[in-house]
Amino acid sequence: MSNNYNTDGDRMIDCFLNLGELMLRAGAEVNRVEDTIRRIGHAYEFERVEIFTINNMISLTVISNDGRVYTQTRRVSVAAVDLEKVARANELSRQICAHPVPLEEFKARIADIAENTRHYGKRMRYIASVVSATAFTVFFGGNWVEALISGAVSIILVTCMLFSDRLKIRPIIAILVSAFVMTMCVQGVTHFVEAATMDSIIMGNIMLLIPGLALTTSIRDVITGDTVAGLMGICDALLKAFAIAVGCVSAMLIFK
Amino acid sequence: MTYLVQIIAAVFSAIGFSLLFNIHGRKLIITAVGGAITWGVYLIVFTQTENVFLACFVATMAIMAFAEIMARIAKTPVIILLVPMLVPMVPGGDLYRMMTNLVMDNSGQVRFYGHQLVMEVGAIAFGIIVISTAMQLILKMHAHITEQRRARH
Repeated sequence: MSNNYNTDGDRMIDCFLNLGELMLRAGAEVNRVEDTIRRIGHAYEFERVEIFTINNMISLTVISNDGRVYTQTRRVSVAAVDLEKVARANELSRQICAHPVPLEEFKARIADIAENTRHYGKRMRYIASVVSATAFTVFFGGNWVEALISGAVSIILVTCMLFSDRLKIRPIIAILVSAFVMTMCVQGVTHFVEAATMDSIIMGNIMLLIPGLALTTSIRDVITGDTVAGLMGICDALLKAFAIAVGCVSAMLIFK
Repeated sequence: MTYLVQIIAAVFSAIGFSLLFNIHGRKLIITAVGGAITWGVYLIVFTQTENVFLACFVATMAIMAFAEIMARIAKTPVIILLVPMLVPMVPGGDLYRMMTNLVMDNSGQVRFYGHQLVMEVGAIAFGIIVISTAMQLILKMHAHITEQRRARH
């Protein structure tokens, strides 16, 4: 039982990195990824686990209990936030820490999370966006006409985002274009509908694009000591906010 | 009446974002309740003090405490519950107003909303940190006390 996990160190840390990559891509905090892998590493009786994570990279070095050093770096690309995956990965790590399983089973269970996590599907994404955009328009003081328009515009917005996802356009450009299209639509509609002003409609739809939570968590990262990861997040969030602003403003200037 | 409408809207926005972030089952109910708590606390503090920073700070602390407790009951990571519940407080409105004033060349208004934006984001971040640190302290103290008790027996 004891030593056998440490003999296959290279494949072992590959497995750890798979889990870390999965969590990071699904939107887990840097802190959590580091903590999870450190715990799992110790559960598999590695002597030392040195992990450094930033938003798009994980670097992991472990020292086995017979003194050999294994190291690997993984570049992680961004993906859609999927908190169900984070929850499942967390549960897996809890179980592993309590009872370490053989490498093959560990690998299979990570693959299972990556592939077989339930999703709401595309239709639900539309419904969720319409609900959020409508709710936010009401939230910002819009009347019911504005709420209806906001719901309709958010369908266009989501179509835009999904389309740019499929074309693999950079997120910044996708946000800029989506914000532009959204503002154009809103201005076009409010031009003809007397009862609606564009402010609350645009605000309701901007909320779907805005990286407000990324900004908040990044600031928290900086304050709690993950300075590099936090600064990357802040920079990314500010750029995205700027992209939204450029998109909206350029559409407004056209109609001005 | 407007407050009630706002709270209901906050609940729906929290639900909508929970769906976008792929949250399932009873966690959805928790995040919906959390959305109401977030905005409810915000409104209470804001109407009493007229201070945006304080309102954001207290509301974040309330929701963070709620998230920490519910995460232990539902056995999920805190972030999963926290993210959708914080959504109503994301300062998208101020960002928009800052932008439009930028286009219309009202530099005074730009500064006002920009300042407000920074305050709100900072307040949310600090609220999260205060409660998570307090929680860690409580857990450590709890572990310490139980250990001492065990040692005495």
